[in-house]
Amino acid sequence: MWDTLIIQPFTNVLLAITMVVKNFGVAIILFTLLIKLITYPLTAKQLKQTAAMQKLQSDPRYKKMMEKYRDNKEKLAEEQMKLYKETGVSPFGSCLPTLIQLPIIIGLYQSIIKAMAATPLEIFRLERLIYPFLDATKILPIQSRFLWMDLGQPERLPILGIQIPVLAIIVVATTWLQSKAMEPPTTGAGDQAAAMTKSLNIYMPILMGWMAYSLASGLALYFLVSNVATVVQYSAQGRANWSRLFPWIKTKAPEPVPAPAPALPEEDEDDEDEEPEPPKPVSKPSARAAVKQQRPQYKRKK
Amino acid sequence: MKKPLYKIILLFLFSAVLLAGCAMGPRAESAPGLSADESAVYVSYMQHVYKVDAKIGTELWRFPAAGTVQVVFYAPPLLNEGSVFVGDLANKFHKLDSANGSEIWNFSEGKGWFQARAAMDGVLVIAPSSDRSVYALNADGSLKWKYSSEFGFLAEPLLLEDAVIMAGLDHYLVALNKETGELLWKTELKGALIAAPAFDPATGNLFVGSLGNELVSINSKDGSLNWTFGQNGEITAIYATPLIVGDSLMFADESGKIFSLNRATGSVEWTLDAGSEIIAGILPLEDSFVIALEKGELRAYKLADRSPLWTRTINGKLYTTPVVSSDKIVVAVTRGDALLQAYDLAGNPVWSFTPAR
Repeated sequence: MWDTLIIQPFTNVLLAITMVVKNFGVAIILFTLLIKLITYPLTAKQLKQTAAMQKLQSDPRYKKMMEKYRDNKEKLAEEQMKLYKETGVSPFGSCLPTLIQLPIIIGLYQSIIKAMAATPLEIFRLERLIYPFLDATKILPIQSRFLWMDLGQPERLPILGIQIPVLAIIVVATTWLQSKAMEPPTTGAGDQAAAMTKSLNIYMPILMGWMAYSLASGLALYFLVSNVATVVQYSAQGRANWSRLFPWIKTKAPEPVPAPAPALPEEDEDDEDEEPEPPKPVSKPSARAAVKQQRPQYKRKK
Repeated sequence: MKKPLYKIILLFLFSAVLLAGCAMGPRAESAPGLSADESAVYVSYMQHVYKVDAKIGTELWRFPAAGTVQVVFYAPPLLNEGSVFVGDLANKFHKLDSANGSEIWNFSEGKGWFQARAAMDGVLVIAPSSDRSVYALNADGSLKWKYSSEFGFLAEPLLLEDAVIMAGLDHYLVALNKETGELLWKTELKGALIAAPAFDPATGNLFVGSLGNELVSINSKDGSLNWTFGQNGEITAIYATPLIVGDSLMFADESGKIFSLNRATGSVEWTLDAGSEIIAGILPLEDSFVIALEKGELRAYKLADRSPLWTRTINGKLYTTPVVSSDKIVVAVTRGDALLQAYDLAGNPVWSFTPAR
């Protein structure tokens, strides 16, 4: 079922692209970009939902609620759900597009592996996957040379007699770039999500780099293109946090994505003091200030 | 969740993933490589090459003694005068002592996987690699010459008097000068060549099948084409070396059809439909032949009239050509209960071999 619905069509599209461009490396790049393009509406939706959730979580009353019901998980969950309902923010809104994308991403990865058949058994299995209208005899085997790489082998570029894993280094760099660009603004000193993001920003590039170093370079190429495409998608959505990467660049703070709900409802009287002040205009905003400006400010109804 | 606890959990998860990552070997799956002499079978599979007593199915040695996931073996070993030559997927080619499995030397100049059985002529060892090269090695494992192509080699070399015949994934059958590695001739076929050609010493003709749904007869002197079978869609892809039986040529195609052709003309003598896919080659016995179906069935037929003799069902897939040793038919199983299954010539199970951990 999985093979028929996902792997087979994906592999055939990848092979068809290979037949047209006559280069498997270029085909991997184009195919990854094609899949990214197809899943872009889902990515965009996910980003919107994530932004809405971040906006909600950075609201002082949300924080106060978290503090107030810290020792009463049941009540906290109840209050949270109430707030989600009132503001129209779905806590699972950002998960659903991810869940839909997941099989596509896994399928893409697996189809690249299938297409890089290098043993008789893998060639036999690949041959069985190829649709009759694609001439398997002409496609097989696939030329795995791309630039200095053999896409079926881990990549190394000999420089002055030293085998340098250039692609793995670029994968580390782009994964870090992607993580930093996607890093959401922190909501406070005790923000656990921010701490987790910080840890992942260190671990993920190392992990991806190790995989790019050890696995076939065709997959490393896919990691690289996927990273770059994700950063571009985030930038297109105005969600890339460039000030985190390049603090010296005075970027215009990305506009917060509007939550799909009206402003937070009125709260108790004692919340009066908690109302956040509107951001003061800064003539030369620092990176920190730029990030601060991204944080949503809810106006109370008068 | 308290911060230190959260950090510990994250660190644990990361370490687990990283360790799993460290354990990554070559990302490839293939069928066991199988060879045999009079008394033992040699099988390459995953982290080891095993020598197994053909009479009782016990392990005699394994190489390396302690395997790692980074080094994987699928190439059928070459057996020659007390030595075993076998390549791995960590780009090394090894010469082992057949008596105890100890390594005599290894050749590490390859940049790709050694998946095919090597061939030996006197002291010259020819080792094809998927790094698009064929390596000719001296007796001490040093490089004598190297021939490079645009695609890799999965087929065993065929050694003739002065030439090395190589079937390539680039659709070409090539003849190389045995002493220098220089190209003598090359003939293009319709599809990639996975298996070595068969050679008829009487006529000097080669017979080879390809993934291009054809089987051809080629003159070994100049590479000229004698005849082609399959031009009218009679056959599908061929993954194994054809078998010369008397004046005939036998082979099975991927769809499970077995053909016997007249070697001189390429005309069909008879066909037999096994009804299921066949990747492995045909095993000839005295007056019968054995086929291994991919789905896990071993069948024996009488050679004279193709009447079925026996059928055995095996739990697992069969991609490897069976061998005979000590009057036992030994078959290597992929993803099965056992790695090796042995039968007597009447098809009765004798022993099975599963490597001890």
